[in-house]
Amino acid sequence: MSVFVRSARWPRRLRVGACLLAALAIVAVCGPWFTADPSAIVDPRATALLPPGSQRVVLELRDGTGVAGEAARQAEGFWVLSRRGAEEKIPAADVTAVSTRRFWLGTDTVGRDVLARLLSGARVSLAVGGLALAVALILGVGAGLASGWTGGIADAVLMRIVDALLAVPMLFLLLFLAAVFRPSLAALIAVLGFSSWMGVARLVRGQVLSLKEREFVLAARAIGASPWRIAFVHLLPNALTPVAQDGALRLGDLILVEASLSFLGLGVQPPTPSWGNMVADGQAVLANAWWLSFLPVALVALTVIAAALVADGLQEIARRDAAVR
Amino acid sequence: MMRWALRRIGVGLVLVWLVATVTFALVSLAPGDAASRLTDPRIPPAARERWRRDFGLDRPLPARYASWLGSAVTGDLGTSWYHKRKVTAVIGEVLPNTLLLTSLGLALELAGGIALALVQLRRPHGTGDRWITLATLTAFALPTFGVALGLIGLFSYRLGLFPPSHMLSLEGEMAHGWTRFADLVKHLVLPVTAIGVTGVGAVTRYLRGSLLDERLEHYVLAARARGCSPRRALIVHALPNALLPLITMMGMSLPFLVSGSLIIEVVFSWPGMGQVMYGAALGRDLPLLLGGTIVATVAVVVGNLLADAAYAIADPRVRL
Repeated sequence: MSVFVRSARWPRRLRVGACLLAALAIVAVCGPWFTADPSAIVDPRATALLPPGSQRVVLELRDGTGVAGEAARQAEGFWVLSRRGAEEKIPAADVTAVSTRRFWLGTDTVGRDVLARLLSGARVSLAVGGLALAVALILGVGAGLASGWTGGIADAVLMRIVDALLAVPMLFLLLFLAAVFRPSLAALIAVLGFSSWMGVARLVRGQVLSLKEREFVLAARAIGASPWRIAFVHLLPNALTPVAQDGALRLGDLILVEASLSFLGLGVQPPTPSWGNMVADGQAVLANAWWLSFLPVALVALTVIAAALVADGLQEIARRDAAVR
Repeated sequence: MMRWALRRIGVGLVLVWLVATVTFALVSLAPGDAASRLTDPRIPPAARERWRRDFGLDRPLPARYASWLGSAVTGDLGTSWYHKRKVTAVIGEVLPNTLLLTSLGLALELAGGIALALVQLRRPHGTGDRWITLATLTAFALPTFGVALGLIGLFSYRLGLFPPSHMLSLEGEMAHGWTRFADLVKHLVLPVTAIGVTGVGAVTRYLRGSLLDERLEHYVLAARARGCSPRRALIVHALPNALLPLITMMGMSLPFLVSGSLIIEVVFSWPGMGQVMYGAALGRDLPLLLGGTIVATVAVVVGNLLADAAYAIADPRVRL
């Protein structure tokens, strides 16, 4: 009856999408453990706007800072560092460590490692999207159940509220809220969640309205199940597949909205990296540093594609279930 | 029909009023007001007070709400703090630019979506279908700003074919007639394409699915039995029915026509509603934000109304 119960065989799209999403989540959670500090600026003079795969020699100095260059050699008490055609002598006594560092995905305008920023940006973007979806699902499922199952005045009031909220031009509202309240991450999640629960509520209400006329609800009532039990044990699990499908699409949507807000400078605030604000950083140097804008956009697209594949797969399951009945 | 329309218009008016009131409350209760826009510390407190009085901000909230609502009903949405002009004048100036951009974008999106879906239906689940499915899925998943920046990077910076921003160049602004028009078209190409690309994915994906369903319906079989070619059965018989739900989708995108693809306008520096609203949000120009929100809400309500009416006209089974 639902994806999780009769899961004899998931359609391929669902498997591919779910694996992609899981992989992205794992990379987002674990990736930042293995990369450098995403906000560390190595040496803006030598490491700004390096293309992917570049390698630089980094000399760590006694005062805690670092200098970097294309090459370094040791000569009579000095380290000679060549940087952009010029050479600089640094007393060997000041240098505490010498290492070479490869920037696999290049660096940004001030010399931060793009790979590290993409990975910790993944954490932020996926967490904001996922938690906002959770808020929307909790509110939407609650309102939808209350509305469809109790009916009457509660139904009328809730649905009018949903209608009214759906008529609000959300982008303007988000813009306004973001501009006035300079959002923290928690506020951003709340605002995104609160602005997207209405669709879920409508969907759940529709499902409940059709499910509550079915025999199994009558049977449950006949053996004396309480309304709460019927709602959560009998109705909700049966509405799971369409809700999960809608949720997958919504996740993609929320990630896109978060990226757009952050791109406009109204979402996740620097220096916290998110995919959207990384693109905003790269916009100014679009002509000569494509990787700064392209990579975060590609990751957003990949995430949304994965979510859409999951949604498609779930729809196929729903269709299959309908055919079985 | 008449009664239905009147009722819907009534409900719509109540909705607009509700949204306007909530937005007004949000705007008024938000920290800081017009005077906090005057950040220069040399401005004497007396001048700040006069500024607040000029904008009527010294009066209690209910009085402000009453007078704001009163003038809003008569079509006066107040004065923009930043532009120092009537909000209606500011919006009236940029709204046509947005309508031009977004209606062309929507047209491209629709035409592209129908064409692609028909191509896919020539051999469903074949190689071509799979590739187009992949392409439309990608287009659907790409963030708007990504598409816009990609187009700018490729066609403006790399190839130098189209200008990356604004609606007219300096020469175009000075010129008249044909030259001006050509300049406008040149500036339109990239933003319209950006809207088309981001929208075409959703339309194609939707239309392909519903065409696949329609194809199996009895009336299509009947048409084929009468000797209708597969192509004709698809385009003349199945397509109009598959397009029906798109009416609702298009009705829902009427607000998009007005609020515009805000991001596209910002990226392309297009002088439209989206950009003005973005500026108003950044500069906390509350009257303009309020006015713009109301205009957009009206668009939502009218869009849904028109969509329902159009649906009833297109599909006689639906009674209003």
